[in-house]
Amino acid sequence: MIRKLLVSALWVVVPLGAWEAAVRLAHVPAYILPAPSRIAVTFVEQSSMLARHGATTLVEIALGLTIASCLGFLLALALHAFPSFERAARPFLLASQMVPVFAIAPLLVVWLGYGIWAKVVVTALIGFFPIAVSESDGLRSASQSAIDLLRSMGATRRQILTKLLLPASLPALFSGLKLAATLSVVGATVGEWVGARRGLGFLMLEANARLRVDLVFASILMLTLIGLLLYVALRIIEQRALRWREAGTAERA
Amino acid sequence: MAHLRIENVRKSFHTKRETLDALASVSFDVCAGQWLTCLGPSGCGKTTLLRIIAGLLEPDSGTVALDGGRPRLGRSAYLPQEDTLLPWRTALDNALLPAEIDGRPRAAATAEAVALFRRFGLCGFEAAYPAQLSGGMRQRVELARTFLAHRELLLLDEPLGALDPLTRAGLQAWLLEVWTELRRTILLVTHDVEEALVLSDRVLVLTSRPARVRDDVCLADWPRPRRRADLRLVAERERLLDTLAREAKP
Amino acid sequence: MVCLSASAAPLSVCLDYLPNPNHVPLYAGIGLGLFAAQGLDVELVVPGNASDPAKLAAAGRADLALTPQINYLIARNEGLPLVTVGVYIDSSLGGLLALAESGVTTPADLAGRPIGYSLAPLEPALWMAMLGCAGVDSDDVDLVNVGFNTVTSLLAGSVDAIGAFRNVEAIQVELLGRSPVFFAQEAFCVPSAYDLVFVANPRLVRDRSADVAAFLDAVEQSIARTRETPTEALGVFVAQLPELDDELTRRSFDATLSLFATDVHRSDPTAWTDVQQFLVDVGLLADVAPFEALVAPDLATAAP
Repeated sequence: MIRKLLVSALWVVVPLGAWEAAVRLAHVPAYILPAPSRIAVTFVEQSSMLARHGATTLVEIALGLTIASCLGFLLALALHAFPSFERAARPFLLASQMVPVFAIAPLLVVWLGYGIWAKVVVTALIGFFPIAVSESDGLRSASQSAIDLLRSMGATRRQILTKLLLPASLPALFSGLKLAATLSVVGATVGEWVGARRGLGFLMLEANARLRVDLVFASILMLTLIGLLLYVALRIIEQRALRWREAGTAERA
Repeated sequence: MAHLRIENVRKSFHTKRETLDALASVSFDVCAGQWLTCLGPSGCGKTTLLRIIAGLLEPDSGTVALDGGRPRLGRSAYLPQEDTLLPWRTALDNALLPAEIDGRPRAAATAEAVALFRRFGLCGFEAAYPAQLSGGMRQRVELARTFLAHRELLLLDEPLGALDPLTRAGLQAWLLEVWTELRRTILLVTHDVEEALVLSDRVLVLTSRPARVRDDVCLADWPRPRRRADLRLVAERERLLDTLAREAKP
Repeated sequence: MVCLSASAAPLSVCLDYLPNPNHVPLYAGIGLGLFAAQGLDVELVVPGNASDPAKLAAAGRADLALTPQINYLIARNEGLPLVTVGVYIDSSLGGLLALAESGVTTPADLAGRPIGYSLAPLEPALWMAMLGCAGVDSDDVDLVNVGFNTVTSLLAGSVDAIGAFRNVEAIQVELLGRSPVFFAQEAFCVPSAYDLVFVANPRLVRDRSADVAAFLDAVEQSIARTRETPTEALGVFVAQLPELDDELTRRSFDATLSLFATDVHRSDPTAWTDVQQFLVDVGLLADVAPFEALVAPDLATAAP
């Protein structure tokens, strides 16, 4: 256990050490690339400001991710329930994902203003496709023999959905959620770059303009922590929802 | 009580590349409370036959009547060949699945399931997940589920196929006991000749694809329990193996 | 077609922003061979974002950079090694722009209403000062960073005013059929500033003082030439940047002509002190540095 922690720590410490050494040896100025030590100091000094802005971005992410989850899930259900709709909608769905969300973010801001909702929509747009696709695949993951079994018991279509297809889709859904969570951090930040009064993306813009690159990195660090927090939270929920899977692996271990 | 009548059932499957004739013309009757085993070479269409009886498929021609002309789907208890325990449900919840689908009151169904678990030697494993159970235990849970479906006709597709000989023999004996006590109609599909002879009232031998009934062996007057070493059983086993071997030749 | 001699010294100059009519003399200088005549091969670099010019010049990745005087002072305050070597536009360009139909007639009307800006920390400080000058409480000032989408956000009504250049966005709004209302920053307590100066790393000034001097001379000539024959200069600009060949460029250029510095070497120490004091008062600068520390030795000539 200690060994595993040490190995993980090494993965963090070694690149940081190399970065620190490189910056010092090459005398890279702080306004081009600050050393990790400088970033750490800034992070601590500005922690309350970072936390304040972080809270704003976190709210945007949480709202966006929630909306993305609901919409993505519902879309997957609709695609499952209406195969003709799926055939018709598929090309549009794919095309919609080719448009970089960042390109339409400025338009969203014009329509929705500089408050929280433009960022929430950008975040939701980025997150909903991975969730819809994962859940859609998940709904198709049940074996034909399991479906046959339920049909042979006289199960209605609805019962097959609730007792078989939906529970079978959960592992895939969680994969999609974890992916969407990571993307949501990017979405909220980019939404803020287009126009904002606060948030970590906003802070990065202001800090960069003021040539405080250390603060830019400290903001990035904060964003990373938020992303990690989300991932861990999802993992915990996943472990509780899928405790049957954990039980199986525990037995084998 | 179930009265299953199958007349001239044909079934073919069409894919882009070829047409697969599964059943050529199969006809037989099953009386209530009878144990009928379908014996045949692998791939001869036995599973297709069971699926048609279960109502999952319709024959291309011919009739299948289970207790008259009402729709068949949902009126038998079907145990597929593959492992169909739902991994996210405990053993007990898996067994209660048919009761849930029927909408039966949960308390009574649970009590019945717990009792059956005890009878099946699964006491203490009600809360275990399938991944935590051995192969033999999983089969027993599936069999419990099949019995708990409260259907007169049980369709069992090679239920003991994946087990080692020792476990298999044990389960065969135990299955016979349970059937004797609960007296449902069983239609068993297997490729194990000995198993067919030890367990059944009647054995239907099917040809290879497209399947027809080749032989109908009545074992109703053979006393149970039957011993594998019994001369009569051994002789019959040899005869049937011979028949099957000739069927399997291209 | 201009022929460069084999011994022309390369000089890279990072612009302050995307190319616009403010830069006509520079592009004209290249197109008309004025830099080549001084033995210079000048390359104009377009920045990726607003903080690039100062960074690139300080780091030596660009030889010279064009940047607002206030941005230069803030960069220097952050420890960037930079000095001002010349003046390009010696008056203020900025202010607040609103639409007439929003009912805004003085800056005081903007209390509590969103104001969009793109260049931090400069703009927030300026607009805060302007509104404070007009009697608005600092709590009632609502500033929103809108990136480069200032005009769009103003026209869409997402904000009620934007930080703007009198010679660019104000004209742009007019050309789009709306009525602009412009409040000049120097009319509301913001000291008159040099809106664009040339900066460089002191090391470069020392090592290549002749090239820098030659460059500034050429710029001055180019400005004079642009004033004499504006149509020709604009034509050369548009030839190098055909995507800017439109009415906005022409109108904007007309408004800018009078704003170029006549004498790029001349700089008023008092003006520098005033601007620095303003920045200290709004908390963007630590202290007021002496004139000699801020400008290259050649620039020590005071205005009469």
